[in-house]
Amino acid sequence: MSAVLIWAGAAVCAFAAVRLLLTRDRFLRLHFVSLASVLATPLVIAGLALASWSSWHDVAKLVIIGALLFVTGPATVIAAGHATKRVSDG
Amino acid sequence: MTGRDFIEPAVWWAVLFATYLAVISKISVAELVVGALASAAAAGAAVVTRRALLSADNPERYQPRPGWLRWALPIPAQIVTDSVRLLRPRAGFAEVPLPEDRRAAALRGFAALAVSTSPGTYVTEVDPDRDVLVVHRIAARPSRTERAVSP
Amino acid sequence: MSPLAVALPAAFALLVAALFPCLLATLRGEPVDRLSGLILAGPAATLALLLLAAGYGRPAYLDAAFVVALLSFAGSLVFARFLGRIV
Repeated sequence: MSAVLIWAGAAVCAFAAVRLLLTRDRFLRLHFVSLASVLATPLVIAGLALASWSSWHDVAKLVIIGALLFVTGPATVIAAGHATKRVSDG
Repeated sequence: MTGRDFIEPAVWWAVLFATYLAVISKISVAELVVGALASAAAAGAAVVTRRALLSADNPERYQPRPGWLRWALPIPAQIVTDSVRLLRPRAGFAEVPLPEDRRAAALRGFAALAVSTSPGTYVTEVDPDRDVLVVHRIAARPSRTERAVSP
Repeated sequence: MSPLAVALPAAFALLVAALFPCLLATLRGEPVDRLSGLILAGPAATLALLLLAAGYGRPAYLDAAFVVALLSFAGSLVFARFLGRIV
């Protein structure tokens, strides 16, 4: 189960990276950035949390890192979207 | 300074110190001292920030309303549907109207975050005069989160 | 071999390979177009470091992932703000 989740997360991240490279529309590209932060991160974190660690401190750290990535991802996409719109309009 | 003024920094310190202890792998005297000092400094900064940003007399009114937490409910399902949608996206801009609220600045900020969390939409511009979020979408119809945020 | 022992190196290779499209995306287009490649590299690198920590069984590598997550976030914001002003 843990292996499946980790694989799924890595695959989503790789898919997002490839689609990001191949997309010409500069606004559509940012959706793939958000996809990696919001879908790939929980999958990989869940998969890693289910693996065996030596103490619960490590799992707690893992969850905190995952929460950090999950929350900062959309905020960064908003900032980038703002910048892209300003450059496109102005 | 009365006794009640010490409650808030103490709570911050306790939470931060507990988080610190949760994530370090070995607990030794040096770690405890460093953690206590760092938590104290961070608690001081947190109290000052909270008082400046979220106090009721701040004219910008950044304090969130608890009712806004319901915006988080459609997000997990929305993430799944949007991820599937991204295989065949139809990109376009749209406007999301926001309800009237005295705490307009906080509403715009939190609504923008809630709408942008799912990969299907993100906010590109905020129009404070018309209370509208200009978003970029991949579906033609508004997502459930957008509908939850609108009036 | 346990499924995790096979899956972990493969997933790690996949995540590192995902960094190459991010890199290529930073090489084409106007400055604001290149920003998306930079932003995606942050979570991708963090997740790769997390897999390393799990693979080698060294929780200390988690701290590296923590730092990368924070700094990549701050750096992306700085670049987004900078590129948004210079038209």
